[in-house]
Amino acid sequence: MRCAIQSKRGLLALVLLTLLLAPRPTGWTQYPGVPPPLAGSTLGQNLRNAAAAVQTQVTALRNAADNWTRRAQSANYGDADLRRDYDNVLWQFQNLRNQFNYLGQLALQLGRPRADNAVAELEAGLNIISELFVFLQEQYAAGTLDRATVERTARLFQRAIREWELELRRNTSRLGIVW
Amino acid sequence: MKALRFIALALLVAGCAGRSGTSAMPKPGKGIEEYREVARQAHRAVANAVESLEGLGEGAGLGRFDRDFENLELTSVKARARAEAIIARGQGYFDEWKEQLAVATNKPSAQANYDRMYEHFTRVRERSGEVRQEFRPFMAKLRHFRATLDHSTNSPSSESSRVEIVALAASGRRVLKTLDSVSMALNEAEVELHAMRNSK
Repeated sequence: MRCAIQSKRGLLALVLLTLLLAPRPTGWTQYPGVPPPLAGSTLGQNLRNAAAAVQTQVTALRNAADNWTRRAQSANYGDADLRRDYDNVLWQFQNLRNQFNYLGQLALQLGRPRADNAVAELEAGLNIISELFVFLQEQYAAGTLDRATVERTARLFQRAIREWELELRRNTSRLGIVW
Repeated sequence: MKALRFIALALLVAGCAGRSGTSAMPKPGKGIEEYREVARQAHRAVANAVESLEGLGEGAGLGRFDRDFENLELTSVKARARAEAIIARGQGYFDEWKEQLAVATNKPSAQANYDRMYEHFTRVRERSGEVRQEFRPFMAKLRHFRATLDHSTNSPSSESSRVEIVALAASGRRVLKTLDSVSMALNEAEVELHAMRNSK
């Protein structure tokens, strides 16, 4: 599969890239449209709710990535499949960032350096993983994206998200989440 | 809905029983030790990727390179994220080290110890900046290079690929240098912390 260059797609890629990489002005601003988890009566309860929401979202993203990886292995995987899977995974990824940003905001309220550092490390991890989207966008816009590249990148994304999820779990105590 | 929430909670609770993050207070030097470990893993992954990259130019198959490259992609996230966090948080990141220092040191020498550790931290932070500066473009170029090999017209042993391999290997070696450098700074910080702990 060789994807054709189209100006509209290029523009769409640029818009997605901007959304993905645009710096948030004051640290932990949420993107609009994603409702926060239920608010509790204490910070601890809010943290637990936010952590559960992040976990739910990371599971949804993992499932989307698993499906993408499986479909991309098909010899008939085409441009329309790629756009559908890419949009879906990107959407789930953005939702994960939103949920994590909310958790990060709450963790910062603890005023503990450990929590702040854990948030910064996990956030940086998501930024680095998002480089895979940028890579695909560049290849797509240049008309040089092959199915083999998509398949490899989808598999890598799937594994990277699993690793990030493990890191999140390792950091629950550092983030101040007590169950 | 309730079941989903329960599963999510159970998964996170299970996570709490993982290798780290189970105690309320970290062990002194844990942050330094962890960063050193992720830097060491990243170093090994970069070295393997550079070696198999050079092997491609000499006619080796893509299999080993693909394995090493994928491993590098995954391993590098942690090291790069740690470097990014230290750079972004600056003094704020050191506060966690400071907490650990308070556990490791006695009160009369606290200020002197703090100053010495802060010097170490500053060095680690500077060198983390170098890691970031070299790592990101290396990974981006490596991804693009690998993608070009998916095109049937491009072979790893072609002249243009060989030129690219040489440039990429040089870039990889610069990454290795920065990782060596940050590891050295972390070693020095850890030695100092041990000395403080022993003199407590």
